[in-house]
Amino acid sequence: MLCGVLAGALAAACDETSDTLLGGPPPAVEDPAVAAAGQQLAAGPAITRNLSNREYLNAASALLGERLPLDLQKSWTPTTQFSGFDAVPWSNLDTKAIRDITETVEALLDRALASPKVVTCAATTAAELAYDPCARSIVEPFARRAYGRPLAQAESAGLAARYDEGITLAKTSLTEPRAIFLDGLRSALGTVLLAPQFMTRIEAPPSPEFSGERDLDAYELASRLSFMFTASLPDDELWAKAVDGSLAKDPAVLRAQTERLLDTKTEAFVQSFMGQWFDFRAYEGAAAGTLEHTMWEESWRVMADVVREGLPVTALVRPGFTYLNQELAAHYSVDAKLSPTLTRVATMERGGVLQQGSWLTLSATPLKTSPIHRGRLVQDRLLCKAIPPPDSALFEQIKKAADAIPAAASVKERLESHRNAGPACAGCHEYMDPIGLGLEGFDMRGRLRNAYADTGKPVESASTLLGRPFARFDELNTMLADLPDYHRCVAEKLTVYSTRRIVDASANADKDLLYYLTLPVEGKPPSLRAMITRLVMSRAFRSVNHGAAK
Amino acid sequence: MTTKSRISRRNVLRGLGVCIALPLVESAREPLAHAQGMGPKKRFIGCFFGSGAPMPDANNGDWGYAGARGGALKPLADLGVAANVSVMRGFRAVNNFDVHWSGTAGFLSSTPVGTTSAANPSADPNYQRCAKSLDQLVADTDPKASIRSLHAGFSQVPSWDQGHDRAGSINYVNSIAWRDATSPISNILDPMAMFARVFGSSDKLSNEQAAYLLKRRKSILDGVLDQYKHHKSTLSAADKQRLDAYAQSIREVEGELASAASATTCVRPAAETAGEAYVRNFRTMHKLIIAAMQCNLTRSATIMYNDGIGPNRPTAAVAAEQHDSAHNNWANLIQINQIQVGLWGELIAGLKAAGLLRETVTILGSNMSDGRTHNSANVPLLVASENVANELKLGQEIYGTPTPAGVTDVNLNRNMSDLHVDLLKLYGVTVPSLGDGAYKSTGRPSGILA
Repeated sequence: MLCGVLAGALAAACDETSDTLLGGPPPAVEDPAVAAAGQQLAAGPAITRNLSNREYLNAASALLGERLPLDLQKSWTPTTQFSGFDAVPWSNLDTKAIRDITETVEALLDRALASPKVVTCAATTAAELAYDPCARSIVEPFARRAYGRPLAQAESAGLAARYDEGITLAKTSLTEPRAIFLDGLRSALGTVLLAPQFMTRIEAPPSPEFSGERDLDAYELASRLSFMFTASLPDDELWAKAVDGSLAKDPAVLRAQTERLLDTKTEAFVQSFMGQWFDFRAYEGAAAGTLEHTMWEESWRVMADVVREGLPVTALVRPGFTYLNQELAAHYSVDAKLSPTLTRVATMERGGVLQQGSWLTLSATPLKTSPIHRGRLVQDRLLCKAIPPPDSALFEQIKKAADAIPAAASVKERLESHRNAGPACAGCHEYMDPIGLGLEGFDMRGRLRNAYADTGKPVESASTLLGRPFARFDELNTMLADLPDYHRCVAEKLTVYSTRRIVDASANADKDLLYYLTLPVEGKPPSLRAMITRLVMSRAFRSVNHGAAK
Repeated sequence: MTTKSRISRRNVLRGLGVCIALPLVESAREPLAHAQGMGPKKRFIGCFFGSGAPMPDANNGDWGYAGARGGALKPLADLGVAANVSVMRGFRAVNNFDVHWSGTAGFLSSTPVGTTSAANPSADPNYQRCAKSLDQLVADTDPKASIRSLHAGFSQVPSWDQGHDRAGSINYVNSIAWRDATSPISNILDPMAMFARVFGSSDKLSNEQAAYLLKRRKSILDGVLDQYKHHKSTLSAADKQRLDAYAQSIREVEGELASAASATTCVRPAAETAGEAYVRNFRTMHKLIIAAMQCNLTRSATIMYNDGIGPNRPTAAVAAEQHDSAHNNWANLIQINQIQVGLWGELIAGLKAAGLLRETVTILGSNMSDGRTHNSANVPLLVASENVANELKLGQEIYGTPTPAGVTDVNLNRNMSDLHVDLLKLYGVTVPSLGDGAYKSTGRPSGILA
């Protein structure tokens, strides 16, 4: 069922739902009681992580002033993730990683030295090869932005020495002053691009013994905000608020910058955050015009609207609209006349994350759907419920149960046999299987199906989740979105992504944080956008406790 | 400059594809005897595939030379290397976490993996802890090797689910090679990258220009170590440890740059151009590993033909993933096993043709036997070499259990550490024990030594 401007006859049926979903613009000011609660929270742990591969490329792009191609990192070891989120656990900076980065840095330096944004002056005579003033005026701003803070005196001196060594070395092989100058710069800028100060983001204590609490400084806040919203270094405006210190001193500036980033960097934010959360960034690199690329665009454009327009948290699974073009509409069996450009279309049948082609394809193998896998993934990503891996004894039981299933059993009967095979199996499968079954009407490419292509058997997707029966996936969506666990989980994913740490929902500090992030005002739970500003404005984000459990 | 050399490197590979069967230069090799760790063997290649094999399976044939499809080991007979291979039965995988994780990480060290429930798991050293692996112990016998060790793989899994990711590192499924207890070694997945690793990133290393480029690169790495010096004063212990590891990697890569020039005297093998991508990539990496060993650039390598959980379809002829096949379709699984065993058989044949098999031991094994039950008993395990002085029992079945019937009882199974201890003796390395906890070596012979 398709609603909206392009299917006017059906629009009336959908308008009601759409209206309740569109919550209007977000409140400019936080509810005072909620704001006060945010200042009562415990300071969070300090961030200590390495840049993800993607952040490294984005940050280098920002330094060079050009968008660097993804294939520069083709041979890099993928960044270690936690449940899909980059760089929560540290990645190995082993020799393979260093080799890969060193190799790429050579290519980055070729581009840097050709970039007018980087090379703002030049030495054309031997006398001009001195570090001051030209080389210094290139190297130091580059290093400051890369490290995200003013340079320590020893760091500046080290870079100057590096430039001088590069010059000395170049003179053994080159004669032309400009070429020598560029190789000197190469040595200093290459050092910056490989330095741990650039490769990692560590909120270090003021002294090694310090284990107390402190407020983050303006540079650290700018770094947190920029990597959260843009997966890159601070832009010029945010950098200026770090340099003048107002980002840390004045909460109004912090809030204004957050709102600005939410309004102007929405695309980068959802492509990174939601792209990792729901895996659709896997299709970001697909060639424009391919179905995968269109699916990727559908996913992030829906998410961007949900964030920008301040829609309720539940809109992630039932936004009431999606973005379609002719090709994607045909893929989804939506009967509509559409252009090749994606257009927002009101519908309750698609748009929610579990009905997006990207999620449906990425949660299946190219050959088949696995309801258990999809169910496990929904528990992991939308309800933050970790399903423990079966142990060996359980595997024996699983095999016995599997062997007892008649060959002719339907998918539903197979799954029900798990849940009937005793509490050891049912304990987990009752959480996974019904959700997966509810999505069996979507094949491994996200197309609708009434029957399985291989067996010809009809798809049965009605089931019972935690004692509540549902007939169709739209009812399943509503049931999921109404669970308190769902709202807490959205808050948890936001915190994991934004602060690069694992949230322990059983610990008091994190329990308080999740409670604060989901606290309803006048009976209404906060929108996703409100949740984001709540997180940023809270003490849990703005202060760190260096003694917090590591 | 770099862009240019990258293109020309590609061209070198393409160009050599035309003149494929270039014999490697025999004179480039050192004689067999070596200063440290005297023994009949000096090179080691540890090979692995995840998710096990049909065991037992009367219908399709299982981990042997018989059955409807000729058994998983049929390719070894077809390639004429079966006489060089012993089939080890009754050895168990490390199974103290999901066996996909612990059985992989512990494959070459017989050491249980660390797990944690700390609030910030990755700051707990137990989050990523196993032990130095057999390939690294062999690499230690030649500290001056140009390339300490080479590591080939098919994929790298970045994360799994909350349950696993919280308790232990995803690198448990990604690495069978561990530099030390907390440092898994990432695999090279791209044959081009391995070519660059073995032969340097420029094919003009012999001229002055290239020497200058190397110095320039080294200067940058010196600069990084200098910046690092100014960074570390206020770091916490855990962060300092991580950055120290980073600095150590920088130093090692600097060391590699210094010895890069020696690779230029070797003949560079051609990239494989025929066959499906999976097979082609591994064949090319096999050739690179053999070439690196023939030129005496390295003594040690590992190959992971798959990781066991990630998407892996070695051939379009089998319309199923390896992991799914291990769970529910052994007719498909045995075909996949045959492709991987076949690749390993080609490696043996390649070593033999290069005159290296006599000084090399290569093993192939898995992290479980029956994938349906994640059974850690009697896992697939093969040992191959060529005898110099009848030092190994080859071309036979060797039981780690008191009787053949005992192989299915995990409690009667032998630890792989018993095999590791015996193999090390062949390199002149004697260790009091290997492995840890329930998987520690027992001091009893594994049966592989004659």
